[in-house]
Amino acid sequence: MDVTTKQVEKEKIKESHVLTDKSHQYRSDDSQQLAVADETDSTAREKQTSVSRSSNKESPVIELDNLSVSFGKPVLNQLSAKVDGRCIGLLGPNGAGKTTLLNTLLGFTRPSGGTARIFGYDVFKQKNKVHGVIGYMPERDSFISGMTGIRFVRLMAELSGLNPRDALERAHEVYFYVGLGEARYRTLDSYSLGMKQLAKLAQAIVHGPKLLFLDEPTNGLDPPARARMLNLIREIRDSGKTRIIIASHLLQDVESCCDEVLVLKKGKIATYCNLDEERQNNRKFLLLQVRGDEDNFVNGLREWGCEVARPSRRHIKVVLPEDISIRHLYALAQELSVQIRQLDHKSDSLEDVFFRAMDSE
Amino acid sequence: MAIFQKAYCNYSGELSSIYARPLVIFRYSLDSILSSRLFLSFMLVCLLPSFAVMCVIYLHYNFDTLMQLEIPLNELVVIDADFFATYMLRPQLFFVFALIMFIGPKLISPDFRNSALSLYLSRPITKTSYVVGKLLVLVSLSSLISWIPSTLLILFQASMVDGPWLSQNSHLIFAVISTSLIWILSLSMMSLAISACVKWAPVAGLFFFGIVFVGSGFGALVNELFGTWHGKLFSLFESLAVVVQATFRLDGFSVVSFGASLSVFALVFTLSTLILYRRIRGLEVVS
Repeated sequence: MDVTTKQVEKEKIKESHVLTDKSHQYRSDDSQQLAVADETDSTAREKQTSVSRSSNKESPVIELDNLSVSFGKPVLNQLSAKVDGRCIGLLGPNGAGKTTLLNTLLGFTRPSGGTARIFGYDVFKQKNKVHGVIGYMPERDSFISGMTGIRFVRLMAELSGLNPRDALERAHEVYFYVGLGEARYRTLDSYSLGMKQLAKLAQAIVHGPKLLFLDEPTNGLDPPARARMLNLIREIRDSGKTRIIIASHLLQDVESCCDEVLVLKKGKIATYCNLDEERQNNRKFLLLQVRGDEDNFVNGLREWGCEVARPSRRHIKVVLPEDISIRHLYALAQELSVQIRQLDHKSDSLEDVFFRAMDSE
Repeated sequence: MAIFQKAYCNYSGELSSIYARPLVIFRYSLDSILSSRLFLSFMLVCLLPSFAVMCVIYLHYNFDTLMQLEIPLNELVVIDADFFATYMLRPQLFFVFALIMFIGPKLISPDFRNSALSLYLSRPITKTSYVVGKLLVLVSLSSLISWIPSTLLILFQASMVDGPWLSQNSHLIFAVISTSLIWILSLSMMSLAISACVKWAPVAGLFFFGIVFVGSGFGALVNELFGTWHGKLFSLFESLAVVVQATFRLDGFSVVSFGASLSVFALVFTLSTLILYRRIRGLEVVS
């Protein structure tokens, strides 16, 4: 089955599951076929995304123009960038200015110079318009005491402008969506840390924002809860209706969700890159774990024109020339009585991108 | 479709006006306060002075009932401006003070303690909307036990009297409403400002009580030490008495002028607004 046929089939399945009422449009996600189609034609999805990205004539998601923020000493120093990904990771070491940038974009901190725009709206001069299109999940415990989960999310929906009836309906839906359906009538004070994180996510998406800010969304979550949170983020991203900004220290989380990353260092942008493009640009290499006469083995590889690096004892990074295959490596190993204990195909990870950005001046 | 089968979707329905958002905060805050039975009982107690005044007015114009109760008419108080100021408004305004001390700190302190302000202020509402929403709770509940029953009682009195009583005493309605609102607004703002500074509601309540009463004590001390009357300006109750005297056109003399008393309330209101403006923010600033 070629990609086009699959796409048509996928569209049909989607259409059959779309229900429309006066104010909402729901998509059924119970279809396993759709999930299979999603998995098998990821290439087609990537193409679609790149087309929609290039045909997107809206203002960029975030536009920074010489943005500076100072609290006595400069914290953000003349940042300029146009950010337009579906899911953007905000990375940087402690004190790099991530939280300040987030607070500035949310309109909590006044810039000392320059401007920041979200979908073309100035974050400080058009605060209400910006707040109308964003959702925010704070890092810290933030809730209203004594309220049940459902009431809390309903209040947040009403504050975003939904009428009480729609707000209640959406609050129930979103509570089930994040997996807290059974706990919706419990007070927030009685929630575990993981449940509070999910409740915070629920209040951030209840009004269907165009841009979602997630500040350390997986903070304090155990592995299953973390996996669930990341799945939810990916699902929201793939819906194509909401752009996401994730500020996190966990590179693995960012790598699994984001298609672009903005790395801050000492209040400046160290790098802003598309992860897919970065991965494509990075050369693939083989990571070998060997035992035996490693030096001779490395010399033999170099004689064949291989680029070799030794990151640690018994580990060898090899970039093979076009005319050399893995079979040749095994032949050389046999010849020199070297055991190849492990062989992995690798390419640069987000960690490499991050550390490269940190090392650059 | 079953609710648990619905996936993430955007909202495309109509949005309410941005000016209606304070009413959302008002509604939710009011609802949580009215859920307390203790508070409802307190509200009933607050209405007792109004009920007593209504009984007195009724008895004044019902000789049959008076005779049955064997109360001579000359033993009943005269119903005039002094009666409304002394027996109706003053107790009501004291209950207003107690009510604001009771519920004012519960409105903002918990939001500070639970870092909820970042959630409120990342929505399309402003600091002003937030404060107005909370203020409306105090103003509406205080109004229910002060100027609303007072105005009704004045109208009740007018309906019982033959002749142009209301036109001759129309200033009473203005006096009741203006005095109550001055008191309610300044105390409410003060209570909200204190609760924005003290995260624990009971402590904020104590602070509020302390500032009002310790202010009076401090004023008396100043008067005693320096042989002056300016210490009276520190007492909100003293200033209230002057405002009541002036608006109800009562006889008597006070060293504090009406203008000075109004300035005290204006100062309290302004200072409280400034504190609230500085304290209400999306992120907590740690210096």
